[in-house]
Amino acid sequence: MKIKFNLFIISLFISLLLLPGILSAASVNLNATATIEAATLNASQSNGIDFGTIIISNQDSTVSIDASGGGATPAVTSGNASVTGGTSGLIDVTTNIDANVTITYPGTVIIDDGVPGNTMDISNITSNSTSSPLSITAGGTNEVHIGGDLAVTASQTSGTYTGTITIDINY
Amino acid sequence: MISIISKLKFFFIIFYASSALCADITKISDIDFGNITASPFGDIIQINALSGDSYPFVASGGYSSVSGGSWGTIRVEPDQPGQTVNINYPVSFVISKGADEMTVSQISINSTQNFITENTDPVDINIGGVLTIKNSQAAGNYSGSAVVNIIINNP
Repeated sequence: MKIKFNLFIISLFISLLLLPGILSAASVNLNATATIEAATLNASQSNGIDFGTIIISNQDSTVSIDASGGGATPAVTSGNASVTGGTSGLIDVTTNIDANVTITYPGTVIIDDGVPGNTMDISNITSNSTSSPLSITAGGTNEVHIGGDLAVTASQTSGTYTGTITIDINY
Repeated sequence: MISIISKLKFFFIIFYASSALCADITKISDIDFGNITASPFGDIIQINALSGDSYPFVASGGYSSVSGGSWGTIRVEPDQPGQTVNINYPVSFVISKGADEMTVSQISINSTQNFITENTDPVDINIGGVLTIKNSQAAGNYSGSAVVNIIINNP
């Protein structure tokens, strides 16, 4: 009987030791996932800048396209040349995120008619084009309009002048 | 003496039985930070499940966008009122896609805190955190895991 009683006391003691402590514990393995899609930015020329058909006169002239507020057509802003036709350039930008992009225009671009020495300068492109930064939206219509000032001399050789304007668009 | 021992045994059995009850703990859902179109400059995606259900959102104000996703849930089914549930979250862990990694952190402050059961109704532990997307994070499906330790003490 004494042994039985002692066993009971021991059991009770062990139980009392255990009961106030941790009664339930679990380690749960939690998984986490995420899918990343990279942001995209694409730009393509919709149409090049065209200063139109210019008839020179006896003064140096400037033919300007002010596309800072959107699509525009050429106008003579100094001198007495005349101009018909032409339009600002347009770049379409597409993206999959809503973001601001910076647009970097060249300072001056030279166009020529293929004959050495027969050139004209396009300047003030930045101030006559879509301003930077530009807010673009995923799935939206994001346009960059390009303008500038074309310097035409009174003795400018007749012909078709062409050149390339490189514009950087980045997040 | 025999009578006393029998009575003690009876009380001991009752006492032990009432105290030895333990809650059921079951994982209901994992954390999903959703489909993220990531800004090239990186961003912070947060699930703030501190106060309950929460879906991922861009917390850093960047250009990223996120769709879908949800908080994680572990369900505790108490056996009695007054049980203290202590939850130990990892400080951070990594989810990866091959060699590319992202870190999930701030789990504790975005998840359910320790609590005391009021009754025997199931209680959900909602788990969130902050996902850090680095600059030019590689595209793909990232996954990883962490251990959440739950300790339940009876009153």
